[in-house]
Amino acid sequence: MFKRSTLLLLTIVMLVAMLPLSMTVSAQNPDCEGDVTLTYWHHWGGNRIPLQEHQVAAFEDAHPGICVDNVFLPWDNRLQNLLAAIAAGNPPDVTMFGRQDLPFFAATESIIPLDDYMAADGVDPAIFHSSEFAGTQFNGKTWILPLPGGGAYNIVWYNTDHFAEAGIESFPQTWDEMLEAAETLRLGDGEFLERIGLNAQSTSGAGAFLTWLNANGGDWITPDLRTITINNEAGAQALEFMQAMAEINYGIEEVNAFWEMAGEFDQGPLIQGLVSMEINGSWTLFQVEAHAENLNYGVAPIPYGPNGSADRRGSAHGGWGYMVPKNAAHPDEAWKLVKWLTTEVEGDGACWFIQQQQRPSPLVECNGYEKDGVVHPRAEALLGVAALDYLVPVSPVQPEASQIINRMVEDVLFGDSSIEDALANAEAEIQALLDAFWEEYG
Amino acid sequence: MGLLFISPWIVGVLLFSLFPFVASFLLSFTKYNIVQPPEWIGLDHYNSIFTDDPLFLKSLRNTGVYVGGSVTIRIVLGFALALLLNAKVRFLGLWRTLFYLPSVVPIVALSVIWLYVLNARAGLLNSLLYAIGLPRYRWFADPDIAMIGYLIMSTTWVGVTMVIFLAGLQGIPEEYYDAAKIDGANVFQRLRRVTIPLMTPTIYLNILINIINAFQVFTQVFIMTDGTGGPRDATRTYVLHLFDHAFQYLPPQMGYSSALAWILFMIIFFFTAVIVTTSQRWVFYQGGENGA
Repeated sequence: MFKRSTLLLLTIVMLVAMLPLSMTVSAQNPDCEGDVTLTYWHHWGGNRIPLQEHQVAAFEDAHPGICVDNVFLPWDNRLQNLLAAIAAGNPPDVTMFGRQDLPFFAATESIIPLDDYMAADGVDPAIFHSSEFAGTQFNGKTWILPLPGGGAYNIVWYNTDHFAEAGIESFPQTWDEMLEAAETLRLGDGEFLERIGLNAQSTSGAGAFLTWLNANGGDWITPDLRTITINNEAGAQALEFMQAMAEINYGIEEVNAFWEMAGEFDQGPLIQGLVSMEINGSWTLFQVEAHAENLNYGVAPIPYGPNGSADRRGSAHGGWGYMVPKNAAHPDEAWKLVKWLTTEVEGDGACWFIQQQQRPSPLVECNGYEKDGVVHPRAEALLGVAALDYLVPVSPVQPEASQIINRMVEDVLFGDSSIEDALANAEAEIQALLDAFWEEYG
Repeated sequence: MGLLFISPWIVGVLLFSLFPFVASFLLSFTKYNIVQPPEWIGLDHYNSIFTDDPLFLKSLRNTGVYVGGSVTIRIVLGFALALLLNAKVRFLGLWRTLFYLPSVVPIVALSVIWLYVLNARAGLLNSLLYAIGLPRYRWFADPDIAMIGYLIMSTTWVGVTMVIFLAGLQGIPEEYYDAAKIDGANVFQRLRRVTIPLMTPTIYLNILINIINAFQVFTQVFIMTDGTGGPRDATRTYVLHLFDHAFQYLPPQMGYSSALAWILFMIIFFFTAVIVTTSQRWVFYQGGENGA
């Protein structure tokens, strides 16, 4: 049916088309010689890949006899990959790990507690900021070590040129001021947006609703992680704020449609000029400097709601860490790598890796905004924002709980449910999940 | 000796098809979080799915819309293209290659391309619509039309259906057309009285293949919605729902997912059985034998 030349063309096209599939990147230093090769999984993509390679090479130099197979995996499939590997009895020796995933893996002892290793090597928990170390604990044991910092997830990055054009002289501190500023900064014809002042659905870390709830002084779960507490005045006000912001931006459908143009890294909404204010984590600094060095921008804490206060703004929530799975082939050497990735201050390890990205470090001794001996000019402002962060706990059923909360927000913003009903239903649904978890694993 | 040569295939089927098939059936009666041994709970999962899972029906309905739409599109469009490419036109090989080409592009790459094509603001399709005075649609932002975006995307794989139809068309003897022409049949009459009846075995095959594939739609939705099935769960397909329970939620619910998988299997089996059974009435083979 096909001529030979056509078949050749087809083959070439197939091979070229398969290139984007190679999302998993494995790198092993060919010059490394050792008896032990550790398999190390991480999710540091984009312009962090060369930093990872450098950090791992430095570890190999400092630990003769240990080589590392450095594997980058996409974040989206992390649980699928990890669960499959653990079930197959062939997990990596060390893996990057979401702190929100800790309760299940710790409760089932699918990962190795690190307390004995820490005691043997003199790793004192006090080297970490206490809020960062708190996220590594479950049932009184330490299962992971933190990196990067889980704080400073909700910094408002704003375009100062847009503010000057709109005649806004000071950054909004309260939700009412934020709504007013967002409406002034928004550009559009009444139906289609040309620029968004602020997209209240786009935050990072805890997710949009929990971010606004926190900035309104509300706690979504009790400290013992057993009771959900969103169905109250603070929760209702958070949803009302999100609803009001969506209406300013011509409704949720237009916001979502407009947001399709936003991506990551050099396609970020602030970098593209799609928004005047973007709520995002501290990693944005590295991205702005890499991709938009001429952008005139400022940083500010997230405004607080009617139930909130000026000293509780952003949310420290979840974050990352490194752990050793049960059945890892080389647990002792794996611990050495975990230690390098999370506690090393002298060599090109934990502190160096964070400083290269200019973001907060969980290590007390390490100023993440100091790179090659030079403190970043915005360090003081960024650390000031981080100081207003408040710890938002992660529940043991976080992935499904987050999905239920997102569904609740959509119910309200699409007008399919009243705020009262949406809050009551979501709270009951998540509570049922929590009760089931504690009944089985408590 | 023959058994030796075929043994890799036999081992592959036993290990990677039959074993998971049987294992998933057994797991569907257990509570299984992957990292601990399964615990037998009988029919609890099946009971929960039908009585306590609102997303089960929603995802099933979304999948049903996709199956109905995409199978119709692929059969009608694939057949039309095959008719055109069965004619004696210039650069026939080039046209056939071009229409088949998208089918061999990996779905990950295709999904990214379609995200650009159907982008509400900067997308190619909306730009074309706007240029001819039609409204711009918020394809993936409007829950009412989000699934239509995936139906448009499903035209990508029409090449596979087209190739099978082409093979069927080339199997129709010219004598039938010659006889119809002598009897005075015009081109539409020849299509209706000769081509379509003789193509029913191929149509039957294509419907079966496409229905089985369409019920398992997952990858494009997973990639294009970041695994959410949004907006408003309007594109949450059945397999995406199943995947969430197995790999996205903690604790993982592999037993529940297996139960969902077996319900899907039974649904596909039911539709297949209906088509196979009714085929005796509408599938015609040369020589006068009806049915499968």
